[in-house]
Amino acid sequence: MFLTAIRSIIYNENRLYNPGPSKFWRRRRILRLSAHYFGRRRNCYRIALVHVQRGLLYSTIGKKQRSSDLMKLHAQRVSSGAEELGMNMAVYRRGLESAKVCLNNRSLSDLAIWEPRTFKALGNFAWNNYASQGFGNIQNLGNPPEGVVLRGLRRMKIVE
Amino acid sequence: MSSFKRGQQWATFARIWHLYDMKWQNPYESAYVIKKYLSGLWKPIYHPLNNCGDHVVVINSREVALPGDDWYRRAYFHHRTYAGSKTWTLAWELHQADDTLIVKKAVYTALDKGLLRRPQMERLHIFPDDKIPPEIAANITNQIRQLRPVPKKLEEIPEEVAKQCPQLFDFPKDFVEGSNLWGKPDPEMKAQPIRYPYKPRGKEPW
Repeated sequence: MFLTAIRSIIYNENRLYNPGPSKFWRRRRILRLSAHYFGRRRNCYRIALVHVQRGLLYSTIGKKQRSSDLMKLHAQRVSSGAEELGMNMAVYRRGLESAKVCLNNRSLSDLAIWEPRTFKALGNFAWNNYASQGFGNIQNLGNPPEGVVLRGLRRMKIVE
Repeated sequence: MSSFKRGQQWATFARIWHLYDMKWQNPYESAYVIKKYLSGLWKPIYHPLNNCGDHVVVINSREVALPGDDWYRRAYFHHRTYAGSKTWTLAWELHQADDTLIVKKAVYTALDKGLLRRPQMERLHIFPDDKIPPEIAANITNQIRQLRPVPKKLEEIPEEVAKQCPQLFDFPKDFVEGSNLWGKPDPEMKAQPIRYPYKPRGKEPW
């Protein structure tokens, strides 16, 4: 029995009561997260702990908001790119969607920024496709741009 | 910022000057059109932290058209931070004092709140009439389409054309011209500072 007591002093993971790292290292864990703060929030453990925990809460909330924020940003970029071509985002997305072109807003917004001519070509096709499927009112939509080959679909045009 | 991103200059030569004619336009609706150009929302490179907005020159702000009877009903609140220094100024009074303020406040309200709002407001140039200083007029390269077409007044139509229009109905004999304009102000109530948007009480005087 005496021997087992001595044995337990040596670090043993399976012991029921495990004191873990020393006080110093426990504090380092928190103070590392507060290293970029200012004032006593940075160096005093008791104050740093409060603000680090609050900061971690904010970062958890921010993780959830990030995806929706990015989705809104990509939608905004595609919409402004489509409006430059003279249509709107609904025409652009639905025109591509009905032709089973599976590009999401993120890749479309990348195209709008870095490859505007590709974006324009896709847009011209989407407009023609949208009109030929009879989705929107062609009078409001305007004549779709020419130079697009649609296989098996009727080209729509405003009759003067 | 990495050395790779330092060479990335989104807004190089990208500040465009737009012209917007405010004649007979609703300022509160056109503010959202102007916002699109002031904050750069119309560009695919838009990002809320990206300072990619353009300049907008608004002309004819004197001839702005408020909807309904808003000239008499809409009150602009101001507080000078002294006790009892609250003021509610009616839209027509504000317009008399400064004929660019209604447009300015409408755009300021429409813009997104943030650190970029003041710099964006500085890129808005409002002029009460169509006279623009030549150094500003030289920069303008684009005109924003108006929200609605400017209607022609009866005085502007030549008499010969106006006479050709058939008379669709006769006015009643006791009709007084201008008597049925709703929102007509009571001249006695004119310069009263008001607590709430102006609404005449009791029987209407007209």
